[in-house]
Amino acid sequence: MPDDPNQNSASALDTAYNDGDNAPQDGVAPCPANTWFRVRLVDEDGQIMAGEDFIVVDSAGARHEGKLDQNGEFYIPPSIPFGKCTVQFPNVHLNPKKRKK
Amino acid sequence: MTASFRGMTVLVIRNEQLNLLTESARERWLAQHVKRCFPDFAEKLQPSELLDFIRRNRRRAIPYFQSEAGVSLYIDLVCLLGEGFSDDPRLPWARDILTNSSIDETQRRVMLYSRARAHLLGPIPQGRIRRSA
Repeated sequence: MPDDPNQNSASALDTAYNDGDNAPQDGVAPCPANTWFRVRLVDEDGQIMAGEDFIVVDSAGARHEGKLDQNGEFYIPPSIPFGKCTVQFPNVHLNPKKRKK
Repeated sequence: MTASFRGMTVLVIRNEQLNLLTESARERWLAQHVKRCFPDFAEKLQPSELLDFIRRNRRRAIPYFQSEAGVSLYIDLVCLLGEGFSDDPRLPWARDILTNSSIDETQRRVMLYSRARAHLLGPIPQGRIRRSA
């Protein structure tokens, strides 16, 4: 570390200037880790909709398909990238509970 | 605010609330930046005072810089040169650079940094070659 106070100030400015290059653009530093996804589906009466088919497309475009468990839920463990996912229940209209009487 | 979706209660975050969260994250990053780069300066301030300092000077920087890197440099210079450095008649170069509309923000940041660095180092003594830091 230089002893000259002027040099110290200039060095501090250099350090700060370089650190400023890492300032998050939107105020939130991007997190490189993956994330999880969980959904529970219930009908208008709050009844769980077990066994319903689902399709999730994550932000990287990967498709995850399956059936909801006995609690009307599915869970994707921390393995998908951050971002928006789309969720579809392609056969929900075929569910006897959802058929018009 | 909550809303109902297919019988489920979901939390709705409005844009205004999201902006506040983002604003808060920016302020926190700047506070950490000041602590990292100017520890002696930051030490003299209570956490709430440091946050007030960041907010006050961030408002002053925004007319000149859109980017967080630019705002960060402005706050760095406040730490080194004092609040109001951009209007200080003893530092006319600061105002000249900040208000120069013929250069873009990236150039403004580089010019401000270079000029401030030269100012901090002071005049080069006769017959000596200055080592760079």
